[in-house]
Amino acid sequence: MLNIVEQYADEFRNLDNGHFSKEPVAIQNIRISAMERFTELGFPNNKIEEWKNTNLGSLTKTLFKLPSGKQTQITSETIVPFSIEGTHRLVILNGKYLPELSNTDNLLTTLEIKNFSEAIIDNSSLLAPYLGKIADYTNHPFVALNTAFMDDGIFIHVPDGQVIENPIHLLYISSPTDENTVFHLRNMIIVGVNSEITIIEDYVGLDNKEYFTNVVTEMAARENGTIHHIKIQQESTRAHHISNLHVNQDNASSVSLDSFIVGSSITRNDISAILNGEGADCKMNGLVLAKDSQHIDNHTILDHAKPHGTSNELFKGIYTDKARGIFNGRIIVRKNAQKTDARQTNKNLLLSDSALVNSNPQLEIYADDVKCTHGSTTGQLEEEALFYLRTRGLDIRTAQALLLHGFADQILNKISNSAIKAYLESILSNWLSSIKT
Amino acid sequence: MIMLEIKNLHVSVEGKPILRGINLTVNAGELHAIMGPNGSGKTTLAQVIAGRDMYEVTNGEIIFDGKNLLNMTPEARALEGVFMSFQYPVVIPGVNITYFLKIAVNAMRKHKGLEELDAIDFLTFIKEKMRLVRMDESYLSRSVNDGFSGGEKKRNEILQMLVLEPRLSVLDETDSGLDIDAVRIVANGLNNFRSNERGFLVITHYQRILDYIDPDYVHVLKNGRIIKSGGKNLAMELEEKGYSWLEEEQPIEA
Repeated sequence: MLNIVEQYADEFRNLDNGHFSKEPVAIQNIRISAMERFTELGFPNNKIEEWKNTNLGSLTKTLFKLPSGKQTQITSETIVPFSIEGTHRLVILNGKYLPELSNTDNLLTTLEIKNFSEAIIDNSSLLAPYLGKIADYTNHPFVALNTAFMDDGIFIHVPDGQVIENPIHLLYISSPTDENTVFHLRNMIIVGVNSEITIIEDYVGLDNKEYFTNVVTEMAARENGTIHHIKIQQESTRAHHISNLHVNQDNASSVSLDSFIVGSSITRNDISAILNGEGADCKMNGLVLAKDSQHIDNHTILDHAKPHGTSNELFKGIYTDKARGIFNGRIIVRKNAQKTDARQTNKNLLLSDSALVNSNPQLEIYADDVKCTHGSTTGQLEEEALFYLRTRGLDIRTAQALLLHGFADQILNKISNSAIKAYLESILSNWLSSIKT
Repeated sequence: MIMLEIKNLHVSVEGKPILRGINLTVNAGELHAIMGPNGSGKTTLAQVIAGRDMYEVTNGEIIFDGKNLLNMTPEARALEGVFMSFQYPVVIPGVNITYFLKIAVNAMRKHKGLEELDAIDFLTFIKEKMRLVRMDESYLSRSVNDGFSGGEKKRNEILQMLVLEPRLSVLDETDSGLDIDAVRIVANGLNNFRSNERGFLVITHYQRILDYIDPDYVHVLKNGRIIKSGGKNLAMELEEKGYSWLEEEQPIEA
């Protein structure tokens, strides 16, 4: 019998026989080379440093199948709980773009936005400089697997000099009819010179099925471009969520990457920003809310490649029950990235004796005139703060909730759009009322 | 009318005795000052009254309005009308001061059977109290004690006393670290709040604040015991002669 990696390769060969024939040859070649790379790399195991704390379990033992094409029926009612006021919403259901529930009408005058699998055919020359280059498939097995099978997703191109006022809400809903389905979602966002956009990537699980989201998002911020990217992960409790979010930043570009993670049984996020132009700025924030036996692994990289770059990273997590968290935060300051100012903070709260977090900041500094700070704390709710609130008449549960809310709000407050913030507040409140304290 | 009765109170921290037989009675309407050198047990006394559980009461009792305080949680004591102003108020980033105080005030009102205040009524109420301690309205958007100076933290403690309207207020060195103007503001806030129904324990290291608040009684705490009690004049005598004078006059029994 074929091992799992060979089974994926087999599936790929079956598909390659015609399925990709409409695509430009260059794209087909990328797929083939990515599949080759995946078979060489295989699935990661704990012997690999980057994966030593994450056991992927059934992900590496079961063949997850591409969506069968049988579509779950949903209506506009289904998505009401996931509406964010004042945003343009695009829906991807079970890995397939759903135009009837998506609204791009008002957007098309100022930018290009379409299903990624159409864009690789229609816009291949626009994509070519970025595809597979921002998200490197040569050393990450899941990027390689995604690149071989990449399917629907959202492609956005903001031309030069366009400020897009309303945020764009990409809603990925998973409710597969079959067990063990995988969605190799692929997104690309290119923001032109002096342009600005706000994107929400929102992953939602409707029921308790086991499925595998393997998403890769590549973003490019051109000179003086601005991207506000907000990732919300509220997958089903049995979902596996493997995500790669990578951004390349040109001169004086400004990017914020905010992650909110509450769902899934296993999550692995690889998030990176390359500050590849002078005076680029990146803000990377994260909030993990984990309970039961959830396993949430965040690997972040801030790569300062050019001078005068600034980065500020704040990742926080609340872990209870037997939840496990990993924060691996790398800051690289390359030799000519003088006058870099990079700050990183990781703070974790453990609400139970069985919860565990590994926090691992890594600084690699090759330039001599830089400012770099990092700090990491992991602990319980402060006894003294609890006492203080209780002496003012707050019962212990209210006091705890207030402190937890305050801890999390430091991340939510980074979001300036009030509708998005309210949406996140309600996710936070639901989570806080769901945990045992 | 007796409000607070502390009887033969012994308290230890990690097995080490800190309070060694405190006896003290506070009647409604009275203000008692407790003075003493560093390490005499002043803060321990305040924290035990408020219900901090790291202190172990090995003997004695604290009766408030006929009820045994030691059996109650800190929040139950607060709802009964006991308030402590912290010597070192806790900084709580991310928790908005207005939101926190509204929850606290409404918990108190609910306990008293009063209707809860809505957002607008609460703002009117809190702004009026803030004027009494000369706090700017901009504090309403800040996090609890986050980025506050020493004086701002102490004024915030007095503000909380004013809004929670406790019957017994224990002020733990609320005057320390304040310049003379801030001491006046705090004392003024306190004086306006005094009434026949309220009792006060003002714990202080210095005689200074007593110039403004006029205590009914002054007690000297040393090595976990009250070694001398008297009127306002005792504080002046202490200011003049220092604590060592008492040590010589009244040696402590083993």
